[in-house]
Amino acid sequence: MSEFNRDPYDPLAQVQKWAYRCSKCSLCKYIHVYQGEYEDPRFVDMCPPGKKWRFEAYYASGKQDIARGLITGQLDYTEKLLHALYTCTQCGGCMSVCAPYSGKDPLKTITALRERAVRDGAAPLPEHEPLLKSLENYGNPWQAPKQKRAAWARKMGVKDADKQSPEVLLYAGCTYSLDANLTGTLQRAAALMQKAGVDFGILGDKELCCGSTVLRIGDRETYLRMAHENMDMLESLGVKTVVTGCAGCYSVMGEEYPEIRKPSYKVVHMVEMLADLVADGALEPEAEVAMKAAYHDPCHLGRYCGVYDPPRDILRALPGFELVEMQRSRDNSWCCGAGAGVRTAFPEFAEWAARERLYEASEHGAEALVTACPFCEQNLRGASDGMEVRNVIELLAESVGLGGE
Amino acid sequence: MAVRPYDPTVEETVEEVVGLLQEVVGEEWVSNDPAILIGYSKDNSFETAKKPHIVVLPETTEQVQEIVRLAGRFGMAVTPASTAINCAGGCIPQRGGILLDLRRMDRILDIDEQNMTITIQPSVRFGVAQNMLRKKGLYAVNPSGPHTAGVATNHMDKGIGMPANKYGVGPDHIVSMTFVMPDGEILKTGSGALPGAEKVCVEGPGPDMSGLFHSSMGIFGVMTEMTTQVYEWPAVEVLKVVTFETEDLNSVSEFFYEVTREDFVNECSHLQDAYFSWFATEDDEVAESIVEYIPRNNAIVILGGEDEEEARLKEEQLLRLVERGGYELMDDSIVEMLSEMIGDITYECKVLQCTMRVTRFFGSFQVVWFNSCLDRVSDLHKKYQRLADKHFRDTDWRLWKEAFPPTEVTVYTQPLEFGRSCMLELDFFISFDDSESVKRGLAFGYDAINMVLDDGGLFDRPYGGYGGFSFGTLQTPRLGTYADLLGELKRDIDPGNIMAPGRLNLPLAST
Repeated sequence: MSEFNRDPYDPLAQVQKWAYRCSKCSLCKYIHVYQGEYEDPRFVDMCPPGKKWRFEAYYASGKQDIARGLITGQLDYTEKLLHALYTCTQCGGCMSVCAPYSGKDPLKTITALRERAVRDGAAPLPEHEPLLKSLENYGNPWQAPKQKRAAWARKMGVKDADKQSPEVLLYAGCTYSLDANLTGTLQRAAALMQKAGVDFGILGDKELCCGSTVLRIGDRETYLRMAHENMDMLESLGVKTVVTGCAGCYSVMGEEYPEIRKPSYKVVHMVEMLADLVADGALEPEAEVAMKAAYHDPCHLGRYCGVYDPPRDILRALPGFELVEMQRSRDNSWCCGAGAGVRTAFPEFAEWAARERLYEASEHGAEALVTACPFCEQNLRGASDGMEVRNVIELLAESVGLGGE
Repeated sequence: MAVRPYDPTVEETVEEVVGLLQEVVGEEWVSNDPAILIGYSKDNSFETAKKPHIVVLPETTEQVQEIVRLAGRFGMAVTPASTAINCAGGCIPQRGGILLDLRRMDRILDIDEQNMTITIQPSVRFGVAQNMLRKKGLYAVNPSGPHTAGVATNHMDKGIGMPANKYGVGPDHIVSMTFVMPDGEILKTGSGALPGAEKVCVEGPGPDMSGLFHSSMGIFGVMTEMTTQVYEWPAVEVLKVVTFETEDLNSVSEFFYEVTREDFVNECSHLQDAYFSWFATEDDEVAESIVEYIPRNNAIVILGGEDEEEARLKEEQLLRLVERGGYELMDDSIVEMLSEMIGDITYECKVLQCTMRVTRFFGSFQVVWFNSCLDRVSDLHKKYQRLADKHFRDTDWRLWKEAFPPTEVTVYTQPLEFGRSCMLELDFFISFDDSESVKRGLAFGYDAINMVLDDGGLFDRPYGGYGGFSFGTLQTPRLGTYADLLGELKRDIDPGNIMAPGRLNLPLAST
């Protein structure tokens, strides 16, 4: 058709056929039902911005229309368009529901829309500028000096991966290593690996940002530069495995980097490694963790990478721990609201999404919410009105006697 | 109330109306931003994309009343949409104006377990309703659509599902409806018309007004509440697939005549091989390979009973019928394979989200659906096949990427009311990526609709756009007095022609 986009450099050119083929079935809005009955109609929505603002444009289906509008020149960038586009947390709920039925991935359209917005100069949003400047100046999005990146590991006797050639690299990630409220989790992760006899090291202040945030915001050019730098460095270390506790780093390094080139190392998430160590008997949870809690699947760990069971296996291995499954769990999970630059640009909305999650946990009888992602932890804790938010790593550390370190 | 004549050049009043609407529903629930409007402009039909001027999301019947009155004051069109799922342009605003997005009105108001009814707002979806009803051993008759479709609007739009052989079509289940009329007043139909009366009877006092609203697509008012009948979810369900190797659909019709008259089957439906395979998988190659295992024509039959014994007796009755008619049953291993791919098919048939797999081909699954009778099916199928050959024979369809060739048309037959009639779907696929495909599809659609009309078919849902023509535009001139009277009723009820103008192609001077 004449209105069809033939510009090969337009990010939307790659996804335009889906923009024209969306059947508007609305599956992208709600959880799967084929997996069986659900108990509570309050917890069937899957799209946080859609649930919050309800207009079609806030759902993945409406994004297909926006793509069509930009391709045909019917739409210009308006504040509302950018709001609809950038309140999407890119949680992948739409992808997990739509793809098995249509073979389409609506998330790709959303990613392409953001890349197009950046290319057209309409984005990133002003709220993202400090984050991007920080990446440029400090190599992390938290406006923290590079040297601070290694502070968490002082006195832990962890190898320098650059000099001591360990088999495993513990990739700390910007958020875990720079948020004072989260460094404890990282320390416990390292302590657990030490206890289990894993030969690992860290990069300390030489570690670079994985590029996840810029990728999700739509700045593909910067992302590619960062990804190449990172891959070059990781390959130069000669490590066999890169392990990270951050779900964002994990999905980018494990799923996106290989699209650039085949890496010489494998990437695993910390909960996968720890679950194996528990299963092998290298770590023995013995102390009681008396807690009735729900597990919140981080989007980048669950829907993006399919890691659902390892964190649950760890939690089930903890004496005294009672695991509660929420209606929206695994690939039906409700996003915490933090991802894809949303918490930076729209903190009130991110908090609203997190409160929804905490409410769901509470309605399912959970006393605490456990997760495996620093962004989820930050956002859920920030929104919590009393419910405890914990990390799987912390709980395991407590149970094997490393809680106080 | 003073009503301005319809004025299509409403742009100059849009900002004023937006402000007034915001006072009614709150600022965040109204928008005239182009990025919002475009989301309501297109579905996957041939219908030309058309945007509303304003989208508003009310939450209560009272808000809908105020919105409709406001629209009347400004002569602005109001097009209601509930879940906005329609594959024939049914939710596209034909004359701009206000798109009344009712998705916030999605509460189940009551389930009367004893008298088997459910009272719902217009955007309660099948997935939610079925899950809540199932806890009480009940279900709403499904529309053979996705779980995201609205129960109330689907019933009102004569939705047809697999239990239609036994329980009828959408309107047969409707007990009572609440409408906001074009002047903003409330009208209740059925037994709900009498204040204080129990909402259990389908018929209202005297000449029943419900029928006026069936498939009215909002042209007479906005439905804001419905009480509808629900049915017992059998404790035991048995799935059987009766197969027909022959291309000729006569044997399928004969089977349906027999099985529906004997009235021991809860649900039944006809599926051709390609259609069946599309339900089973999202993978085109797998779909094509499955076709080899599936006979050309198949009748899905769901038997249900209070216990295993009842189900077994019905199964024996079916086996006798199959033997008597010389039909075959699908091999258990193939049924098992399909069940593994689709899931629990008996459950899926009530909460059908696998239906959406059909639409993945080109994203432009096209349907010509109409009512006829079972003994006409074979002839119509043959004619339809010849028509498809004529229009698509020389196309290099593989250039359209993926999917089956457009000559691979399928026919889906759904027996209604003990086999007295049936709904037929003539399904075909085109590609909106390709202008030649669209051109041929339009020409084919035009000929197919006329062929159906010439052969005694009836489009009971006469909306649906094919660009310059539709089921309605081609059928309405043949309706004579019926259409004239409907047009007069529309003028009397909605003198300003603000309610969903243009949706039903009625003979109105002002449209």
